[in-house]
Amino acid sequence: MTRTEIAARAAGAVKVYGEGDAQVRALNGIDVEFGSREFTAIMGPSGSGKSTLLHCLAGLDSLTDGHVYLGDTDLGSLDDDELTRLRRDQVGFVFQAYNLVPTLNALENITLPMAIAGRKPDQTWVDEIIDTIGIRDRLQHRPTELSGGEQQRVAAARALASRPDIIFADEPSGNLDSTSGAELLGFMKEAVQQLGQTIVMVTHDPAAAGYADRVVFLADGVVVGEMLEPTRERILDHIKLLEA
Amino acid sequence: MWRATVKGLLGHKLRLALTVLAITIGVGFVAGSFVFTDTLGSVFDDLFSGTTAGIDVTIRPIIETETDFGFSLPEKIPAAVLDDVRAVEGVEEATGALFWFVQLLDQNGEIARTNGPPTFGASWADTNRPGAFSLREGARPTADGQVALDRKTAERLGFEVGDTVQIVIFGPPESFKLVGLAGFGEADNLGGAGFALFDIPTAQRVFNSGRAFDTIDIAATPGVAPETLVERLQPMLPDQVEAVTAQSVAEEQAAALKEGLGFFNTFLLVFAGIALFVGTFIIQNTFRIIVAQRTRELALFRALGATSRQVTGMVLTEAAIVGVVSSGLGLLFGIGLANVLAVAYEFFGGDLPEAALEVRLRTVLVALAVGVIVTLVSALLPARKAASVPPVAAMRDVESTTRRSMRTRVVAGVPISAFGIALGVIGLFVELPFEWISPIALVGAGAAVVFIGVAVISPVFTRPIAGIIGAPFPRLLALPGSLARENSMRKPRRTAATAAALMIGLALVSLATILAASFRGTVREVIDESFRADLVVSEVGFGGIGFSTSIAEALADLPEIDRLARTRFGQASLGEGPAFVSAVQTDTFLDLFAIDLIDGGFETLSSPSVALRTSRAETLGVAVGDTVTITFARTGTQQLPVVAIWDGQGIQASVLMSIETFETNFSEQLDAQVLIALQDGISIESGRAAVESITDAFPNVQIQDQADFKAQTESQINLILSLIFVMLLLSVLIALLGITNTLSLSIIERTREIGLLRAVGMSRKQVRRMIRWESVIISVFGAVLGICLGILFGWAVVRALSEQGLLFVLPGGQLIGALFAAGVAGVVAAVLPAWRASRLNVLNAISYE
Ligand SMILES: Nc1ncnc2c1ncn2[C@@H]1O[C@H](COP(=O)(O)OP(=O)(O)O)[C@@H](O)[C@H]1O
Ligand SMILES: [Mg+2]
Repeated sequence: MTRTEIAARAAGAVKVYGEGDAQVRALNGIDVEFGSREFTAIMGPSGSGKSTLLHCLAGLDSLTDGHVYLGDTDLGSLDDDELTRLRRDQVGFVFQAYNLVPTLNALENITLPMAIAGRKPDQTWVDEIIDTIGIRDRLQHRPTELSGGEQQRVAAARALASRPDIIFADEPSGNLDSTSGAELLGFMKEAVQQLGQTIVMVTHDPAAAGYADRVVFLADGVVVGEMLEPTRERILDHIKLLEA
Repeated sequence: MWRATVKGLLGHKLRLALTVLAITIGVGFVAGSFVFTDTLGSVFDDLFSGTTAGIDVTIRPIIETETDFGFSLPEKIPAAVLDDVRAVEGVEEATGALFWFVQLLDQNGEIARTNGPPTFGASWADTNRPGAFSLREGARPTADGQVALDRKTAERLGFEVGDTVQIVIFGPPESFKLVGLAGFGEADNLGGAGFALFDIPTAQRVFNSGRAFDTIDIAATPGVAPETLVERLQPMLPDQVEAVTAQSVAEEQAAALKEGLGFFNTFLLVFAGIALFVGTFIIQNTFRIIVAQRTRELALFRALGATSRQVTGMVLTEAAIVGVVSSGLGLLFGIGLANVLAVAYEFFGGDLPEAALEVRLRTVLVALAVGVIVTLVSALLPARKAASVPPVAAMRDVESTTRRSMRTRVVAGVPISAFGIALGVIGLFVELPFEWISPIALVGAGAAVVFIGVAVISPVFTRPIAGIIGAPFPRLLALPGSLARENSMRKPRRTAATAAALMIGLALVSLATILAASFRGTVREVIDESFRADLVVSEVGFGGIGFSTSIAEALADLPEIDRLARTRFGQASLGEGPAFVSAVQTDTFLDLFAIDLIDGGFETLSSPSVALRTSRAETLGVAVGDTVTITFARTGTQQLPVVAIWDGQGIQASVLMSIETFETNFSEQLDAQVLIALQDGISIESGRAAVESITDAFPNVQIQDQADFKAQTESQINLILSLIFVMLLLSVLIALLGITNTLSLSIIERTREIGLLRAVGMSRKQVRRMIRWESVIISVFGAVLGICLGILFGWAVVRALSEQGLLFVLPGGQLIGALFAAGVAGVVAAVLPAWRASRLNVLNAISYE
């Protein structure tokens, strides 16, 4: 696996929450890069700053100090409208839950970012995604009529549908049973390998991280390790090592 | 439980703030109208006991007929009576007094219009006793050519002592020297009415009274009780004249003014009632939403062992606190409102002495009771719903929106609406065999019940109607439009309840608009049909006084004029009730004014006789050839033959008679109108110019053609309409607060969803647009319901009045305008919630806990 381009990058990123005694340094001068067309997992103990990093990379939150880049764009230089447009056109999201707008059906949820932008979705591309995740027969259903696994797959399809430069997923399989989780992760892996997507996924599940091409380990807001071509076993070993 | 309740309240501060506001406005109106009318009431009491200060007994003509000011005054008291009275033992001092209407000219020589009551002329007796008037500046008028004005009027017109004031009484203006300014006890005028005061001989001259008086005021010798004096005086007085104590005169006069005040109070209270009624919808909706949002919390209480009754109690306690707080605020608001009314009262010419506003205990209690009861009643259903939350709901996902059946809605709503309609129909069309409720109150209650019924049913058709209203949105407004549409349809009960508040306001607005249009249309039609004169000379300003007959005499000589018809106006009693009487010039009237002669003719009307309106003849059960009993203030009871039965709009009176018959039976002889037909070939303009050459000397008359006439009636209708609109605006405003409130609450519920939309790239502007158009759908939905009901109500009311010749006119343009305005109002109502939604913290919204 050769690293061609950098899709996203944090340089000396610092994020401080609160003030005085209650101050928390969620990101503590972190440097990390995410390659294009790569499936990267971010792991680390609870409170290590995984979600914070993801939010800052995705333009949902701003840094206290340092820089984050999406491609060549320094997110710190963008105002709210520009960040919104960037999220709409260049970033895809899969959250742990509540990914879908309850008043829209599955298909409408999938094409939501395009609808927001007032663009026509690329029909063949959307069809391809729908067939890949296998929800064609559920397209007219509203989220409440879908199972948790189906909801997360619709969310993933939405993230892919607008062909973003990068997709961020925060514990996407965290609420799913193992079969549904495996289906979702398999689909994400396929999106990277066959469709050339870039995905950065936060997870605390070694099995989930096993689907990735690369794992970045975080602790106390800094990178403490990294592993290429991970498997569940190697990850478990590595975690034991870190904890030791 | 108490702590939990208070905490719960404080936790929802913002949500409740708007609810509080809704009650505060309603209660404020209740309190404001009480405070204002109480204050004015005691001012009147003081005023009238002030006007009779120093007077113990008054002698006055017996007024048998029920008359309004100015139409039909009785015979005056001959001067000889005064001499007789002065000789009676126990009478220390007695003076005659005179009153009549006058009009003042302002500095530009135009009739000075008053915003409220008319200006009176009166005599100011030369006595050492204190009387009604007290001298503020200058001197009392003591000779002809002198006048004193009340200080308020002098200030308003910019006159100072020493100036010349022109006064119109019957004829052309006459100049008087302003020698003094007067007041009434503490106040600078009398309940808004101005006064021009003359010495007695001058008053007798200008009022054409000869040596007679309207009343005689008497001061008793110390030690003689007024009642004793009354007994002593009565036997020596002529028929039709009575002696009464000054105290009872003051009480009567104050009571008469207070009766008018009572109407005003009722008027304000009706609108306060409407506002509170609209408020109940909003309070109920707010509590329902809050209960729904707190389902998990309430279930937790239940799971921890709270009984369902405790939960009900919790919600009701919350409501009671909200009620007390908002009533308290409402009371303060009401006092502020009373201040505004006091300023308005002064603007309309009244003068309030430096008295503080009167906040009685009764007002405080009523305000508190109204606010608390309204809140509690509104919260009752939501509280019961809260109690029905099962403990297991603590474990369930709150968001799961089960679609409950709407069957019960229909089952309950249809009979309620039907009952309301029945009440309305009875009130409008059925002669009630009892008197404990007035037909108007019945119609009002019916309307309220219909509103409730429709509000109960409306969730059933919320989805389809909201869907139709929002149908073009997805195309026009892209995604925010389709989300707005979906959001408005997603909780039909909530949308319907929110819209119901606006529905009430708009139903009443449409009703008022339709009635105004119908009156306007009817008047136009009547004028077109009956107005055959080219020009009409009538009085400016306060109606019913009339103008000098010399005008008609002079006009008759003009070569431009083909013919003219004079009319006069008065009051008498006919059979059981009062009747308006018009006297007409029998030879020409029918050429200049069209009425339907049903039976008989005007040929013999010039001899003592009457012509009756059909409806009046029917209630009296008389026909042509029969005799009716009619009582005049001047000549008492008379038997007059009926020579014609007629019908027609455009005449207020139900009794027509000849000028000659009028002259015999009424004391004042003034023309009310002169209808003029011009010679062929004379244009309206040149005709008008010719008439003006005569009337220029009389600033108290105006010349109108058909178009002027229409414009005048229309401006009167419009004035009333705008007054009603201003009052209804209040309930519309409350309804808008309701929309704001519901949207804010919905946004709290949808925090996560909005956060998600923002995360995947929806701009703030798009979020605002989404909320804004949802609001538009809700308000247009409410407006559609309201306008439909308004049309129904309007049609029914016009139907009920169709016997009086009222035609139904549907002001389509205005109703569409109202619909549009409701849409705009929806945009305004959404400003705050939309702004808040667009400012939501995206991270908080999507974080998973
Ligand atoms: N909005 C916030 N305010 C204050 N502290 C926060 C906030 N968000 C996160 N934190 C703190 O920052 C640290 C990192 O949080 P997070 O990035 O959510 O960790 P992870 O996702 O790895 O569990 C934690 O200590 C957390 O308590
Ligand atoms: Mg996290």
